[in-house]
Amino acid sequence: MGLREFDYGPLVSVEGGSEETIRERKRQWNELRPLFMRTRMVSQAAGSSYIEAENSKVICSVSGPLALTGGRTEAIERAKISCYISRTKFCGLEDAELEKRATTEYEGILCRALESIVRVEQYPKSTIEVHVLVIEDDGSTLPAAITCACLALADAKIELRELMACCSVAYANGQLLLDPTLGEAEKAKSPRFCPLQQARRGYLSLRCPILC
Amino acid sequence: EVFSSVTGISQQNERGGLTRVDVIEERKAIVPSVGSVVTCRVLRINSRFATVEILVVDGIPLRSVFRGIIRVQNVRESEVDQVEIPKSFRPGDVLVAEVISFGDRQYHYLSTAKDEHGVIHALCSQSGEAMVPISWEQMQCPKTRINEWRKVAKS
Repeated sequence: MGLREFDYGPLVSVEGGSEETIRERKRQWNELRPLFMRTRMVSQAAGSSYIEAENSKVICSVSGPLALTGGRTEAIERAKISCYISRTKFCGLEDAELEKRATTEYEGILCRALESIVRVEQYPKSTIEVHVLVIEDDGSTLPAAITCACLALADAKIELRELMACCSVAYANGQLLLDPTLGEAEKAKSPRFCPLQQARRGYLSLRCPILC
Repeated sequence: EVFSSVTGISQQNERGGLTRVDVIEERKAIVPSVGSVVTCRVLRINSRFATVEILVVDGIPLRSVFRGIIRVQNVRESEVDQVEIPKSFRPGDVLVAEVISFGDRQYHYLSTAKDEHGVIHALCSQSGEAMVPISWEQMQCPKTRINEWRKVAKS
């Protein structure tokens, strides 16, 4: 397994797919599902956002910065980011075991992604809580959660280094498929998540481990 | 190019030939940090320190309550060994203090040593009326004329 770096312009120049790939609703291999995003969805939260990509729906609310509760020794010169991902009973995932395993891993990935963009040194001795609720799951919900969490943090006026968007890629039958649905992801070897950071000049770089 | 780290409306001011760019935010995310001036309410006292809940940091209301303590040695600058907490603060008082350290796991450490820090609002223990400061160490109830001991902030 090797790491290849792609230079990613506005959705057109990722290599590794072909035009003949047939996806549902004639979607191109490098075409994302239509997105709807909105902030200020939860009035009680410091910041919140909602993201919808056809049938994947994720809502995120951010609380904080909150006081650290005692009983833990954390680094006090920076904020601690706590992420909690939960799913509704009707989200569409049936295998409860798979759900449980993936959630802890996803929470860890989400925490690490957010730690790279939040200016944690501005909020010493405090904690920022990120609660993600997956309302409906049709694939790519972790990338949607990361994007959503970033928007919710911006809505909460928490200082960020950059905005972060995230997209997943599945590798099936020698083809790359961007933003796979649940069905497409199941057929793939395994989807890989690629955080895309919006760098200073609006240039997106895509890092993706590829099965070679 | 300058980028902002928070969302808000940018505002540019010209001052002395230099342009200053600010972001106007409705309600800033802030935490108490060393050196910030905080407004707190006293929760409880004992002989060694007063426990307070920090409500406002540098003029900005906090989103969630942080806790702090003011120890005997940090109440005032003079005659530190003769300080008595019950004669400086009482539960329910509102005071202004400065954060001197991040303290331990639960509490930030605060200080009211400066003249302009100390109790700004206290209720009379008998009548419940808001008292009026009469010196740096006493406040008086306008109704009962009773003087009570506090470490009063100089206004």
